Amino acid sequence: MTGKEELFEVLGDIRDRDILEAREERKGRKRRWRAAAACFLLAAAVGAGGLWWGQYGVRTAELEGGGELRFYRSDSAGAEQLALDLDADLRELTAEEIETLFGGLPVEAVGYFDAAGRLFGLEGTLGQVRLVLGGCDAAVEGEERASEVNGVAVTAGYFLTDADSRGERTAIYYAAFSLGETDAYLECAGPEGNSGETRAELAAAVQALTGRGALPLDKIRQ
Amino acid sequence: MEDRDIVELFWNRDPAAIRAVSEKYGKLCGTLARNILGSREDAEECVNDAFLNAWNAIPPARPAELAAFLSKIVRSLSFNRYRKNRAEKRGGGELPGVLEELGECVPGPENVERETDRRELLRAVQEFLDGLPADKRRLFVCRYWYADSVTGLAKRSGMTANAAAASLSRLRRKLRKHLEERGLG
Repeated sequence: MTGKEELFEVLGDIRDRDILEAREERKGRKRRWRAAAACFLLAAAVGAGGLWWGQYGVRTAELEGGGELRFYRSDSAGAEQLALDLDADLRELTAEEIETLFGGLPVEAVGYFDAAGRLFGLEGTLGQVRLVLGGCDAAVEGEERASEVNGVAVTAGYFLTDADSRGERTAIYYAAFSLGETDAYLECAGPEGNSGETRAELAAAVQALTGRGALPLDKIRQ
Repeated sequence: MEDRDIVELFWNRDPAAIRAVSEKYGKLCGTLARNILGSREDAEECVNDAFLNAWNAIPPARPAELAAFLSKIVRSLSFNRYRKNRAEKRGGGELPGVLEELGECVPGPENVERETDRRELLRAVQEFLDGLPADKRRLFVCRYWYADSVTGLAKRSGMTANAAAASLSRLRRKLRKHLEERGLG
């Protein structure tokens, strides 16, 4: 048996709970996850009377140097997905390209290149945070819900999934903002019990990216 | 019917057990087998064989998770049938693509026959899965356990197919690195 066949066969013996967890996803009941390479249209459900600090559903993460990033609870029905028009060539970005775009940040990403070989978007990770840059519309409704991070307006939210087969809920935090001409969408998920850490991780990523300013996507070619 | 009641039917050697699992898990098992084999006919045979295997296994087994128990049998039988069919140059479903992708996770020439400590490999794979966020784990399991098509699982996950493919690619790289670090390959 070849290595890949053996790996496929050995995978057959993973824990039942992992098999069942994926089965729930396949059954498609109550979509628990709208994470995607696409950006979300964040529909802010504005409560009566506008913005109230400490309003039910608002969570915060402190920013280094002061300030905070506010996350507003999102009803899953309030988040709609925009499909990316992915008529693009994809390839993994090299270490040099990552350095050009992000300096020393620990990013791994796949780049989307148009027919002319220009990088117009990318999707990847910054540590545990997923990121999508460019090629999407991170349109935000309800500007009064934006936090300011490094002079950039950031809209952030979260929602909680239903309990999975282990009885755990997942908290999914997301943030949308613009870096120059490039729209950015970040997302980080973790067990609801650790959601403070998840929020902090996402806030740190937002702060790191907004601190770099506009991304020089035009310096990267296919 | 509750799983524990179905298992009782097996223990009581009541043929209604087969009808019960067929009604409750026939679709799950059939989809899994078709994903692997591509052929409806081959898939049906494997599923029927799986139910018979379950009849022979219970008792003494008393599976806590009947869906997983049956799915594992179906998967194993379907994979064996796939390998037999491949020798006869028949069928395939999603499995050729799945195996091609898994080949990226295995260091060394992919077509070389090898002997690996399977328990070590399983331990490493489980450790890898345990370290993934739930959504990534589900994506990985849907593709490499259930052999779901990339477009199918992308649609269910609310992703584009390219995004799902990119995500799976990263997961495979991660698994490869994980296995290499443990000297497996």
